[in-house]
Amino acid sequence: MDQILSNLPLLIVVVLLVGFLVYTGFHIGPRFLVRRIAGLVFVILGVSFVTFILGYLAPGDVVVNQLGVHYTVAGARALRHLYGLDLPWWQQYGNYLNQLLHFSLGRSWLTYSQTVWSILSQFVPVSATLGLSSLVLAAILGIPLGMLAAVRSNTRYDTVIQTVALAFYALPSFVIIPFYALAMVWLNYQGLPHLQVSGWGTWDTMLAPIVITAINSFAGYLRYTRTSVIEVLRQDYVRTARAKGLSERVVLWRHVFKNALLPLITITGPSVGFVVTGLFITENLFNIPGIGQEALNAIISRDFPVVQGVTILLAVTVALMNLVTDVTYGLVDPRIKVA
Amino acid sequence: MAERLLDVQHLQTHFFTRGGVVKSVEDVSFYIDEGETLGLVGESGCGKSVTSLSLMRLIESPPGKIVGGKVLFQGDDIVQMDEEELHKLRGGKIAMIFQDPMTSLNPLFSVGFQIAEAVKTHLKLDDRAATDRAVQMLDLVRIPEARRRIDHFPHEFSGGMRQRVMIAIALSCNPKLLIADEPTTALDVTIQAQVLDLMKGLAQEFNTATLLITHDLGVVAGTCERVAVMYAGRIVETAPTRTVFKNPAHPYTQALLNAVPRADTPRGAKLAAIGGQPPNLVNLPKGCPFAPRCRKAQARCRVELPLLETVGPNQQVACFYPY
Repeated sequence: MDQILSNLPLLIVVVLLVGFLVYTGFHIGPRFLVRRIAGLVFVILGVSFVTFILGYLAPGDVVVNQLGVHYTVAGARALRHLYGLDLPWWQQYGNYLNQLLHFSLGRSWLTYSQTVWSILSQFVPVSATLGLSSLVLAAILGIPLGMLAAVRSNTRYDTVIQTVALAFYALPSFVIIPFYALAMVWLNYQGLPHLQVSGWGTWDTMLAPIVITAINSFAGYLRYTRTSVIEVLRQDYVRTARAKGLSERVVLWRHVFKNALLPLITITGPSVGFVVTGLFITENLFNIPGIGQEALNAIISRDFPVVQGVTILLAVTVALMNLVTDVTYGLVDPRIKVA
Repeated sequence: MAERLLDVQHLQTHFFTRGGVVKSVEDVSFYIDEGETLGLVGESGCGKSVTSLSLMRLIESPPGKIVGGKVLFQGDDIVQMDEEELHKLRGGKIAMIFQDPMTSLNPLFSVGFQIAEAVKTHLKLDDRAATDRAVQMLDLVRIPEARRRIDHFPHEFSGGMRQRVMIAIALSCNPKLLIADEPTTALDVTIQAQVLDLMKGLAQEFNTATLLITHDLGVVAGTCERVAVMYAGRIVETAPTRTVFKNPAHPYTQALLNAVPRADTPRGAKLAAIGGQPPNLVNLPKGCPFAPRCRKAQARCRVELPLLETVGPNQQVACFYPY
C-alpha cells in the first residue's frame, strides 16, 4: 500500500478508479458492482494459471541462464530453492496465489532485489503516457475527419481523406521509425534543427513516438467514425431533426454524433486497457524505458514473475475498462440498462 | 373562400443514379387552401413521399434534385429559398409527420427535449417556457401525466404514443401546413383511427392545413376534403372527396376504388386487383403512363400524354376518355 502512496500518477489512477466504482455503486447498484468484481477474481485466477503453466512448461531454464559459466550443481540447487523451483508445480502455483492474496506479485528472478510491483510502477507509467497520449491524439484527429468523410461521402474529400488514412494504416511502425530516425540524423549532419531519436522524458523525445503511434491508430478511428456516421445519417430521426428546421451543425453534432459514438466507445475501452503492456516495437526502436521493452527482456531471460505480473495487470485493466465501457454505454444510451 | 396556402405547379423531382435518371416526380400540380385537408393517394413508389419531401426541400442531394416547377407557399417559391429561409420554414411554417414512429424519434433524447428543441428554434422561448410548451403539447395529444412523461425516452412509449409525440412536435410551433406521410401505416388498426381523429381535431384547433399522404382510401374518405390521385409521378385526378368516391373520372381512380374490399363482398370471392405492374420510372413509356394497364386505353393513349383538364365542378382529370 505504501508503494501506491509514494507514486503520484498511480495514486491518481487509484483515486479515479475508486471514484468510478463508488459512482457505479450508487447509480447502478452495488449488486452489479459486486458481481463484476467477483468476475474479476475468476479472470485473475484463470489468467494467472494459464501464464503459470505456460511458463512452467516452456523450454529454457532461468537458473542455467543466470549462472552461465559459473554453473555448479550446488549453486543451481541453491538458486532453485530460493526461487521455489524445487517444489512440485501445484505448490509453486499455490505459493504464487498466496502472494497474490497479499497483493504481492513476488520478486523478479533476474534482479532479485526488485519486486515485480516496483518494476511495473517504474515502467508502466512511461508506456501509459505514450499509449494514452497517442490514443487521444488519434481520436482527436480521426473522429472529426471521419465525420467529414461521412458527411461528404463519395465525393473528392472522402476519397482523399480515406486514401491518406489507408496509407498511414498500411505503414507499420518499424518502417516509419527507421525512416524518421534517418531523416533526423541527416538534419543533424546538415546542421539543421532536429529532434532526438532516442530516450524519453523531454518533449523532443516524446513527440515523435506519440505522433507516429497516433498516425497508426488514427486511421482506425477515422474508418469506424465514417461507417458509424454514414449509418446514423440514414436514420429516420435525422430526417425528423432536419424537418424541425434545426441547422445542419446542430443536426450533426447533437443528433448524429451522439448516436455514432457508441461503436467508438466499444473500440476505445479495450485499447485503453492495452496501454499497460506497452508497445514492443516502438519502445525498442526509440529506446523508451517502457514496460513493452521490459516485458520483452523478461520473456527472453525467462524472468517469469515479471511476465506473470504484466499479464495479470493487463487482464485486470482490460476487465476494468470493459466495466467502464459498459457503464459509459448506459450513460450515453438510455435504452441500455446495465444491471 | 379561404386563402391559397400552397400552390404546387408542375413540380419535377428526379434522382440521378447509376442505373439512369429516376423520374420519381414528373409533373405534379395541386393546391391547398388554409385550413384545408388534401389527400394525396397512390400506390407504393408512385412518388407521394418524394413529393412531400420536395415540399420541405428534404430530398437527399445527391442523388435527388428538384429539376422543375414551383412550390409557392404563401406566395414565396420554396424551390428558390436559401438555407436560412428553409430553416425558418421547416418545422416553423410547414411541419411533417413520418410513416414509422418507431424510428422517427432520436432514441438518445427525452421526448420533452425533442419537442422543446423545435419550440426553442422557432418560437425563441427560453428553456423553462419551452418545457412548459412541451408539457402542454403532450397534454394536447392526450398522453397521460404529461409533466412526468416529458423526461421519458422514446423507447418507453408505444408506437401509437410515439406517433402522437411526433404530432406534438409537428404542431408545437403552430405551423400553417402539416404534411403527414402515411402517418398510420405502421400502426395497429385500432390505433389508426385514434391517431387520425387526434390529428384532424388538432389541425382544426390550430387552423393548420393538412396534406395527408396515404395509399388507404378508407383513411381519405374519413378525413379529407379533397383528393389528388397520383400515378407514376403525375397527378392523374383531383376532385372533392365526395366526387372521387361517387363519380371517379380517371380509369386508375376507378380501378383503385374497385380494389377496396367491401363489407358486403361475398365470402370466398376474388379480390379485385389492377393487372400489370406500375411503369419503370427510368424508362417511362410514351403516352399515358397508365395505358398499359388501362382497360379503356385506345391507340391515342399510347402515343400522346393526356394533361389535367377540368371535367366537372372542381374536378380535374388527365385522361382522354374519362368516366
